[in-house]
Amino acid sequence: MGLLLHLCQWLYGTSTGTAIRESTYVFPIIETVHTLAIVLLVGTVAIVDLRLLGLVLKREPVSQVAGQLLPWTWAGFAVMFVSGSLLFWAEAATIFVNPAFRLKLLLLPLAGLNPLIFHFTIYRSVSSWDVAPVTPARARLAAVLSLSLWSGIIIAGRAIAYFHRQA
Amino acid sequence: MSFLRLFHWLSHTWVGVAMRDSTWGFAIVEMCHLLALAILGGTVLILNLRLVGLGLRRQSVSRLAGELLPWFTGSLVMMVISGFLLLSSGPMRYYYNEAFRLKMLLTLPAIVFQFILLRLGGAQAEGPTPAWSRLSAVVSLGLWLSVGIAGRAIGFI
Repeated sequence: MGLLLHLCQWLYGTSTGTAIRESTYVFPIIETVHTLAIVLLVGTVAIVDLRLLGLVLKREPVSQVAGQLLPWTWAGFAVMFVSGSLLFWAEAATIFVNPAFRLKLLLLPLAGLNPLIFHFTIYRSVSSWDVAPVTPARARLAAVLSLSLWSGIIIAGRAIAYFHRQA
Repeated sequence: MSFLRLFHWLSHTWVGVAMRDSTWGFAIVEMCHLLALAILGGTVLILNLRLVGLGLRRQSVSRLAGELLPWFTGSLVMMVISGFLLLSSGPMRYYYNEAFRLKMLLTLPAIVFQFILLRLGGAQAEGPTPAWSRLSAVVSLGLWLSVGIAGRAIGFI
C-alpha cells in the first residue's frame, strides 16, 4: 500500500497531472468525454444483456446482436479507459484513498471477467440457442451479473465526487 | 405564470423542501438519473446508428424501432421524473444556470425529433435507408450529444 500511495503521489505531482488538475477547461472536458464513453459502453452492453434475458430484440439471433454491437462497446471502452486514466493521473493522490474509487476499481475487473467467462463457456454453444427468445440460465445469469456490475460501477463512479477531498 | 415564479413556487413545495433537506436524496436520485441515461443513451445510439447504416445493420429499421420504443419511452420517463426531482432540490440555482437553460432548450427538440424518427422508422420498408433518414439520424445524435454535454456542464457552472 505504501508503495502504491507513493506512486500515486508522484503521478499527482508530475507536470501533466498538475496541468490537467489545475486547468479550467481540460479537466471538465475529459470528464464529459468519460461520461459519454460510459453511455456508449454500458448502453451497448445493456442491450446485449437485455437480449440474453429475452426482454428486447428476442426475435433476433443473439450472435447477431452481440457481434454487431461489439465494435461499439470496444470503442466506448477505449475512450473510457484513456479518459479515465487521465482523470486518475490528475487526481491520483487524493483519489487513491477515496472509498468510492476503490469500490469502482474492485468492480471493474469483475465486469471485465464476466463476459470473458461467458464467452469461453456458455457462449461456445450459442448456435444451439442463438434464436431462442429466452437464453439458457447461465447466459441469463451472466446478463444479470453484467447489468448489476455496470450499475454498481456507474453508482460508485458518481459517488467518487461525494467523497472527494482536496489534498 | 413566468418560469421564474414557477421555479420559485417549486422550491417551496413539499417535494422541493424534502429534496433540499435530505442528506442522500440528491445523490440517490442523481444515480437513478444516470442509470436511466445508460438505457436511454443505448437505445438512442442503436436506433440512430442503424438509421445511419451502422451497428445492427442486419436487423430491419422497423423492427428495431418497434422493439426499442418501450425502452426509450421508459427510460425517458425515468429521466424526466428524476430530473424534475433534482431540479426541485434548488430551482433558483438552476434557473440562473446557463448550462441548465441550454439543456432544457435542447432536450425538447431532441425528444420530439426522436419520436418522429421512431414513428417514421417503424413504418419504413425493408431495404437501404433513404438519405433523408440517415441525415436526420445524424441530427438526432448531435442533439442528444449536446443535451449530454450541457447536462454535464450544469455541475461545472
